[in-house]
Amino acid sequence: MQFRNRWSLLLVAPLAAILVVAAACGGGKSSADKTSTAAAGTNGGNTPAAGGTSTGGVPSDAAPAAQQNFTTNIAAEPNTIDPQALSYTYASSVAHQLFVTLFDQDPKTSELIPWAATAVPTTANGGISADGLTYTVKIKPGLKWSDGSVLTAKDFVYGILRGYNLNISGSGYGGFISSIKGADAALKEDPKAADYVQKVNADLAGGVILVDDQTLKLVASAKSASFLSNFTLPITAAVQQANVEAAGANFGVSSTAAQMVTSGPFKVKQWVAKDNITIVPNPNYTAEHAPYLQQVTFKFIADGNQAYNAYVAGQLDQSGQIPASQYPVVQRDANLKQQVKQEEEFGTRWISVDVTIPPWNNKDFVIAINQATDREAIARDVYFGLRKAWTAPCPQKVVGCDPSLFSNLEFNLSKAQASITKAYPNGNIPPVTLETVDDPTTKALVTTLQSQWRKIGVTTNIVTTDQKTLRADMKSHKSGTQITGWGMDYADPTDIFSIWTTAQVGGNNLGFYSRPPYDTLEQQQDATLEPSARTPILKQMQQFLAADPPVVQFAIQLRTDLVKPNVKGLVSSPFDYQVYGDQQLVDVYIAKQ
Amino acid sequence: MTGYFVRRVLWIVPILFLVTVITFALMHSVKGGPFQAGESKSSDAARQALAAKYHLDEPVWKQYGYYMRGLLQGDLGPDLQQRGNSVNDILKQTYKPTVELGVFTTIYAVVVGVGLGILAASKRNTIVDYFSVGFATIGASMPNFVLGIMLVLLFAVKFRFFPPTGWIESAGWRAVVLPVISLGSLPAAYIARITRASMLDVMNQDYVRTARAKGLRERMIVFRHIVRNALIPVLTLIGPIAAGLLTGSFVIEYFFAIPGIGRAYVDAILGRDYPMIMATTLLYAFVVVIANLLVDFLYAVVDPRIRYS
Repeated sequence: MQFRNRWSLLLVAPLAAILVVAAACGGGKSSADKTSTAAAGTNGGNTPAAGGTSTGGVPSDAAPAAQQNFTTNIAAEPNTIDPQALSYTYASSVAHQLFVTLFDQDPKTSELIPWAATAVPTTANGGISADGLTYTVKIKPGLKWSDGSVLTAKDFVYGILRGYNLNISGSGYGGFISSIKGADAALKEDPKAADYVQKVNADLAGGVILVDDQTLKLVASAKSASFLSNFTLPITAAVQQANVEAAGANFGVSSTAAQMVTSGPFKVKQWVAKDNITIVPNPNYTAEHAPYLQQVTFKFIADGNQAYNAYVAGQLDQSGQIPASQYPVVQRDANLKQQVKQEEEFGTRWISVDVTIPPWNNKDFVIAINQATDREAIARDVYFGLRKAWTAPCPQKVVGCDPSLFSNLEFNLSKAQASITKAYPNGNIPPVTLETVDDPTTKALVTTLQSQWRKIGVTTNIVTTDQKTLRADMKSHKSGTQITGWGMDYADPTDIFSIWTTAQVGGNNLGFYSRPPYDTLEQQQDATLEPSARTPILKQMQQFLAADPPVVQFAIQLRTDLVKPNVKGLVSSPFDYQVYGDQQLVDVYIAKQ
Repeated sequence: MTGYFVRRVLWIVPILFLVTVITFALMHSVKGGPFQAGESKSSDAARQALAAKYHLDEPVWKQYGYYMRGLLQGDLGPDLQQRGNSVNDILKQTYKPTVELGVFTTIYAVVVGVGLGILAASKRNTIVDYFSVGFATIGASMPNFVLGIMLVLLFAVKFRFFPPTGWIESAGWRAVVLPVISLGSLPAAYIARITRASMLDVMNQDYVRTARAKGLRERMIVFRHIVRNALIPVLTLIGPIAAGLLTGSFVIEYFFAIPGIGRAYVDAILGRDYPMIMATTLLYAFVVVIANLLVDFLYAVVDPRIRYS
């Protein structure tokens, strides 16, 4: 009897422990225009979707609606899907399906196209004032929120102003758009002040102006060729004020995501923390045709190899970026090889070097290292073809980018030897440090660089650490290098060339590159709206960067993923904030098997 | 004995307090912070504003004060990665898969470990014994993530019997199998070894020889006289094993993309999400302290010779 009681206790005790724990816890657009309404933009009407039917109709080869489910992987859980608070690309990829912006970019041509706006303002259509500072934007009539209420220009004004509230947008794109009149003052306001929002709004009152329900004016602080491109970013999306205020600080987070009122082609069905976000069509979306997909699931599988396994095992319709280690396997498999989708991104990879500390403050040394870097070998042996060898800091498709101007930095050991001798005639070359994260591909890269640079007598110390430490070391001038790069937000050259300006030191200019003549050139190019006048300035800037390089450029990013053969209509966008695949997934559908 | 356990329970408070001090100090001594240049498109001013909002620009001792004030009121703080969510929200959303994984793995480890141990001892020096010892050796020597990779390649990618990622809600019950085997094989191997040794020890006891001499059936001897007594040392292991499985699953959760606390913990560390690191460490410490208390309690229940004063 006594023994039986002990057994009962043994059964109850673990259950009690679990309850205690539980209690503790309880606490692509294929078209050049996104327009499908009567108020079509300047670029004309929609072209047929990939399936071959007209706008609004379901493609003839589409599977039944019940099978229109698409699952893709975005690797990490978004911090938020509040468009004004976004910080990372995978979060933007989801938010871009949910909220319309005034303009978008054609994924094929990179041209600016209207989305919620009726047209892209130009001088010719009267959208840009004579002084080139004021842009008048008309909103398409009939746009609605997912709750059926009317979307107006006022919602855009509210969204744009909200993006300057650093208490919301601080870790994302907050302050990224400094070219609106009043932005400089708004960004200097004290976010802790009780009347902070009112002050910010007052500062921007002359920059973002509501004219009527269908019209708003955007005023630039100075002439800027890249000004309108900023309004393709989710931070400028309209959000519904009542919905935002009802959610308060919880707007855009997992616990309340399903209650978000959206304006894009989709709305949130559920957000399962650490697992997935599922979106379904927004029944009131009229900016273009309704999406064909009835459900899109964004999985958060962090391990690239596991995402690949999940694709092969049939859990995903699209794998996300293939890990370099798996790519040779894919290439050998005839079936998988056919499912590879590879496109060049507007994204380059480089090694930021701290030009304020030795030996990187010696420009001949930086040139020597550039010349000693065998980029073809890196693309072939480290990335197995997932990256393309590239010497220029700008992707070729960017307006004005001329890779030939960087020919002096191409791999050439004899030139590298000459440059290193010029940098250190006495041969006392200081060692350099390459910090790397504990990732097989990055480690392979740094060991390859170590052996390549050794050929010109440079000793490289490799330190393995985590991403946060690496950034802290770079910021404190300790490591001197950081393997990084830039995924462009829009095709305008300002987005890439502004990185090496003094204004970006402490931000995205990780190498503290500060050259006043370059700053002047950069300001000039952005203020020059006439392309023929802008190109020579861009050329001068690139010549400057070639003679005094801020980075060791080595590759261009190739977006390479696997897509199931029955997934149709995917058009990859080359930009940083887009999901792997189509800009909006609105033309994507599952074909009959 | 009651007084002893009351004292032990009261000791939990200073232990957890010490955990908060050590964790807070360690976490802030590691380089980097939640909002750093080069991670997003934000400007320096924007990052400073955010740091100010969460008091990260203030001295560490002040930050600790803010944290403890919140903690004493049951507020684990804001989640710095998913701003808008509180840490309480995140734990509420993620505890279930972790508890499920821990419970299933404990059951797997006990059933497989005890089963193999009994079989091995009963069929000593036969193929069954060799298999059991082989399992114990492999299970004890192979890291769980290596086993996980092998299981995924074989049973998810090659044969497609089980999904390689996800948990019950998103991938169905079959998603439980591979993570549980990956996580549970080491403790199962350990339990099998202990059970086998204990069984062999009990089998040589006088009372077993007496039972045989009395002509009892072998099955009755094994289950009534050998197994019951042989399992006493095994039972005392279950507490720490369960605690270890509940708190040690973050590698498996990360690898199998299981939406549990372990994954949140890894994300928090990589993202320097201070309040989340504090909360998960405290939670794990709490589970371990409770498990240890439970084990001491079980010792006294199972073995009447043990008395606490």
